[in-house]
Amino acid sequence: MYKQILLFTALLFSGVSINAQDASKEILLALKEKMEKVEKYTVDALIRVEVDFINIKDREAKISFTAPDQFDFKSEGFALLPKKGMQMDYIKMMDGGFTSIMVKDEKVRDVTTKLIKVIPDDSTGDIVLAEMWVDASTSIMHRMRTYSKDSGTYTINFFFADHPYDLPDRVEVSFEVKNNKLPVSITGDFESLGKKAEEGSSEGKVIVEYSNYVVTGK
Amino acid sequence: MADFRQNTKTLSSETYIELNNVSKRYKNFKAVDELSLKVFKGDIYGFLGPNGAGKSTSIRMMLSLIKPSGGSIKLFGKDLAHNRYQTLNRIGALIEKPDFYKYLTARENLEILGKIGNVTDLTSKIDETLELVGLRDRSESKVKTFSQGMKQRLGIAQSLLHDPDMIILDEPANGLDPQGQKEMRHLIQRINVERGLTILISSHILPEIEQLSNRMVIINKGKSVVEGNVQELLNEGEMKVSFFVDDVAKAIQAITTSGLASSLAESDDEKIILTIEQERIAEVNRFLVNNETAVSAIKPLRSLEEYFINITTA
Amino acid sequence: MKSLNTLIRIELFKIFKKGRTYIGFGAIFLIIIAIQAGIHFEGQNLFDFIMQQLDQNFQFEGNVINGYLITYLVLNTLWIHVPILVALVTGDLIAGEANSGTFRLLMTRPISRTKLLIAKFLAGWTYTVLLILFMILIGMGGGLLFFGKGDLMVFKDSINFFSASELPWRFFAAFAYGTLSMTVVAALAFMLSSFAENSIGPIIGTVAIIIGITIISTIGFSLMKPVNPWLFTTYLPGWQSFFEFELDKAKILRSVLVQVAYLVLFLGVTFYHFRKKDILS
Repeated sequence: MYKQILLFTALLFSGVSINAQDASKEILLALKEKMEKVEKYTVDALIRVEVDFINIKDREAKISFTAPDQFDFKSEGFALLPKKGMQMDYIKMMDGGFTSIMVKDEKVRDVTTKLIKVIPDDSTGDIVLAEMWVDASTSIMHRMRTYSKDSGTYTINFFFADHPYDLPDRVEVSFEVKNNKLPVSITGDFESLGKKAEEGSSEGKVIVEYSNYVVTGK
Repeated sequence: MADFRQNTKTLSSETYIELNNVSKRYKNFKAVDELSLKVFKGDIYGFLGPNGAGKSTSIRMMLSLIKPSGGSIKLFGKDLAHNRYQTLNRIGALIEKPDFYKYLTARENLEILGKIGNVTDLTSKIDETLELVGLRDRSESKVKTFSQGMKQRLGIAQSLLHDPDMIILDEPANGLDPQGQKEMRHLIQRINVERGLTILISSHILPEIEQLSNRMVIINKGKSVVEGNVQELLNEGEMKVSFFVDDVAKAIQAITTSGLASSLAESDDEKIILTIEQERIAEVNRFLVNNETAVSAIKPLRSLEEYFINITTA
Repeated sequence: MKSLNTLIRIELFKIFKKGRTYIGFGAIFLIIIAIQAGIHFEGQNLFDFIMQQLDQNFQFEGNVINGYLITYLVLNTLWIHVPILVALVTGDLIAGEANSGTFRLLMTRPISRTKLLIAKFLAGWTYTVLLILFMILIGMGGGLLFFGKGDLMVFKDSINFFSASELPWRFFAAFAYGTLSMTVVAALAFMLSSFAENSIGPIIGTVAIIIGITIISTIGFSLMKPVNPWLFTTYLPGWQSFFEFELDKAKILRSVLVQVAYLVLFLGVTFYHFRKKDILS
């Protein structure tokens, strides 16, 4: 129901034609097909976490991906990766069927992209709506925003260098984080007793830089 | 015992302890009040006074545990305040209760004190002093297992450890049974004779001092009452002599008609008491017997003794 | 006159012949073992609970239940206990001798009161340092042995992650700072000890002063705010400064200076008082 209302609303305000949906679907399928060419890869990642209440130095991790959705990462120390935003996740989302709407052309970092709204058919998944900024000529997604039931809104910017499979060399994931404090009894931090915790939420950002891709493709 | 006292009667003129008008004031109480005394080399010096007379305070001042409020203290002819280390090195002391580290053995206690006191050849020295006080076989026992008498003897041992020239013993017989007191006296005498040590010994019991000391001072309420040779002090002047007689009335009559009338102090139904000099006791006895009065006992009470009993019981 | 060295050795000999000295080591051992056992059995639950906050947005990788976390938890638990254990021995240093009557024995020997005090304090300080080293050995050594190395996650105002490689110096600094704090506690107990005739007073007194001031500072925070920066108790948990992501050097320097000032004050009072004190015990 929720999905339908969203779609309806999107249709109502975007003013795009029914034909546009077919075009958008084509673009997305082309993107999906291209992504699916990658069967397996390993890559070195440098992870930078920019969240108000988290202090962590940049971490190096080794990420490996095996199609269709096996995703693994290893690091020497402790490393945090955003829950959403690893681009392969969205192939999975499209697998269950989707409805898409071409909204408009929009420039993302000087690249003209098609902004497409995607609504997965399977309403049990976490993501209820995704917006994708895709360069139709190259089938490269430059930006994506997802709206989820449980994890709020994620905005992911993809940056590319020349790479045979058009895998990103830099991904920036922005999301909303709630500021909640742990009780003193756990932290043992009596120093902070007098201070007031900040309420509410703030934007968090994780930047992952990829290098040394080793890709096995089809 | 008489022999032993005569030994020390030949006094040296070298002063080991000299107190000049030493006082110790606490807020509104004078513990020691202008006390002066002299202890000569070789003395067993009796420091006599009732409990609370200021003996311990005086001794603590002699050992620099307490700072005097006034007066001067000289040990071995040197001012104590400015020659603390040299003088204390020549003194051994046992003050009040012989307290030790109870969780350590007798030997460990002596080791600590010996190390502080610069004792050379410590192990054999400890053996020697423990032997002297009869604790050699208990040297490895913890002090908490010791009886009062053993602790007292260990106290003597620690005071001798560094071969001092003089020891100061504060009530060394305190808390001992009569047998223990006797042993302690013998020990003190042995030390004095064998080691040629000068000894200052405090007590609140006159007979103890009389048996041990050649010279003494009596203090009361922080003040010196009298100081000098023990025998001379005890025997000098008149004394009160009780004559136990069969017929008191007859005896009184005989006395009042004689030249002794003025010496009659008091009487009751079994005795008459005369204030006379020691030399005249035999003469009075003869006089009474000649006047057909049977004398069953004569008890002299020396005036100092009487005085001391009075201040002690007061 | 005896060398300081001999006096210190004598004082250490006395300290380590006393049963109470080992209470501290025993207590630390038991508490640390309890923490390690707790982490061994419940560590994952604790981790999951703490991670709830991050779980929403992140996936993680790496071992944060490790020897360094154990050490941090040990420090967090024991900075309350160790002052009591330090006072137990240092509060006894002077008063204990007065109580047992052994001061008379010592002080009639040719020995300088100042030297005796220095020896006593240094011996007490040595005990304090040994206690902390023991804590490091069992807490950190045992922790690293049984739980391995890894990054440390610390919750303060924020969640701080420290790489395993920077943790040795952070812990070293924290322990060094903790040693200074405990030296101040030792000096406080030592000072109280010089005024007392038995050791119960200084031990209870030290603990009461530390806990009392800490409680007043915390509860009456707004009222105490101007005073708190001048209280040594404010700086007892200051070792935590070394687990701030960015070291606040000015704050650390201030903590150190205030503590050193208290150390000088406590020892100054002790020496001034004891040098002219009449030994009446």
